[in-house]
Amino acid sequence: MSLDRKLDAWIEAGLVDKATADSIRAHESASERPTALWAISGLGLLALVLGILLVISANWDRIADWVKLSTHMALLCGAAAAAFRTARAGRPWASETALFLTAMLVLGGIALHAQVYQLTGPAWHAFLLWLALAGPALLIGGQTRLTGTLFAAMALAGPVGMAVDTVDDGGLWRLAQGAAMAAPGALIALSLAHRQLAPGFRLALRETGIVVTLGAASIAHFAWASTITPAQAMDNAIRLLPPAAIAILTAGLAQRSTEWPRALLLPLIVAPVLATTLALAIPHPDHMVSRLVGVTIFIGLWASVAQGAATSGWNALFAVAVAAIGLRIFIIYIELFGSLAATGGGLILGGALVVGLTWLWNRIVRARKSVAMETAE
Amino acid sequence: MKRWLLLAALLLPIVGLGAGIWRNQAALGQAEVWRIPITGYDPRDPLRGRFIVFAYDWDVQGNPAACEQKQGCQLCLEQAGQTVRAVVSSVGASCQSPVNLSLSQIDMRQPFRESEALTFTSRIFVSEASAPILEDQLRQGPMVVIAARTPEGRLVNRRVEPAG
Repeated sequence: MSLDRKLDAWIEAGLVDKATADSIRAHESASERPTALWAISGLGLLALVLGILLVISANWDRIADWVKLSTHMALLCGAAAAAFRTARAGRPWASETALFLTAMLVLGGIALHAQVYQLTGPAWHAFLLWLALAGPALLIGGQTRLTGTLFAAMALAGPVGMAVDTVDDGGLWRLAQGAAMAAPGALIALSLAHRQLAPGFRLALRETGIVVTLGAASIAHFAWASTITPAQAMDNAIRLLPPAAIAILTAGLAQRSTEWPRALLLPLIVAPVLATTLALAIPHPDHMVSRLVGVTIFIGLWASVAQGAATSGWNALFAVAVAAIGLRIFIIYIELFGSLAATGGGLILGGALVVGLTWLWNRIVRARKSVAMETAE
Repeated sequence: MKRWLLLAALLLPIVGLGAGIWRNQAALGQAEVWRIPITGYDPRDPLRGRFIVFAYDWDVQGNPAACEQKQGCQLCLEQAGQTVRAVVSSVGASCQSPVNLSLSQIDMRQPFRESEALTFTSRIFVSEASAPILEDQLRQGPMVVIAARTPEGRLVNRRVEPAG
């Protein structure tokens, strides 16, 4: 139901008077975030940028190298100048668009240089260079979710690519891989530490950090379904040092922040790193008991997230947490898939648990509603 | 303060990419040119565009065991009549035209049999229009890569063409 229809219903029910409803309407329209508008413009910019990359990929040999390089540098200078001028003039839409284009032209430039000078190597080299060259401009000039999301993607692409590409390398590479694993947590820490960053930009960093942290911990729990040898566990323990350090730092920042709900401090910052550590840094065989431990930890992680989200009023996160638990319970059926009896048993167990979960969800929602009603009275 | 920081941050990629152009142009300006026979094929990649992966068809000599040592190996290029000789030696060994494998992003592949020589592969980006023509030429006859060897030992593949 739209806000206008809700307010009309509330006036009719005598919950609010017309003056209050008008004040609410005025407040909400002033603070309204044009999410759809940003999403569509982001899609347009993405198409534009992919077009630039494909045109560069086509590598027209009828155009001299110096013409291609000069044209690119002229476009980059133009976009950077536009970003600076529009930011000074206080035109956020134009400034954000120009900043986004500048960042993508930097990536296009790295690709063009690779082509002209036949520079080759792993893609993560290019992504890290992109972060080093274009990241500071986004961090300083970015104001909305558009540039915030681009910065977060940039901060994750290079490190994740590096970690995947060097996974078989030992020594100090393990700490580098750990630094990559700490990148999502670092995004959350950055959003909490740098209060001078624009609110929309910080929100994008925080949301991306939370999504990737929880996603990574959820994927890591599947390690319980495979063998982790003592040597692998030791390697993983070293890799997990940077994420643990960042989690402690982030927890300290969140503790002092008024924006971070206390109930979500442990579930979103500490619990994912703890769950990942248990899955990767403890030697275990591929056995049914290990799998059950993994399922229990997974459900424990998401249950703590659901509980924290319910307490803090983060409704979307609460729904995601319940869905994650439901999905994992359903996967138990696939894990038990085998004979007719085992498949039937798995289906009965999975179905019963999902039905129980929805009943629990309904109870929590009803309890929250009644608490809200009592508070209102 | 923030205005100046933003200006500096916006200038950073321009200066960084500009410095890259200058460094590469300076290195290529002092490079020596080699014509090296190759064999190869043409894969494609949605991110990188079109490129040709090839093996240098040169006469490999020297000490291949140097490549298994911790400090790695280098190639010393020598012109021997119509053929190019690549002498494998330890990194830092004295030679007139050394090629650094790591800087040149040349992959080394061990032979299946002891009697066979090491294989060195590389790649060259080509345009969408010329890629099918070059692939056809690679199938039909001998080809060479025109490569520039920069003073620091990087072998930059500039173009491929029929050997004749």
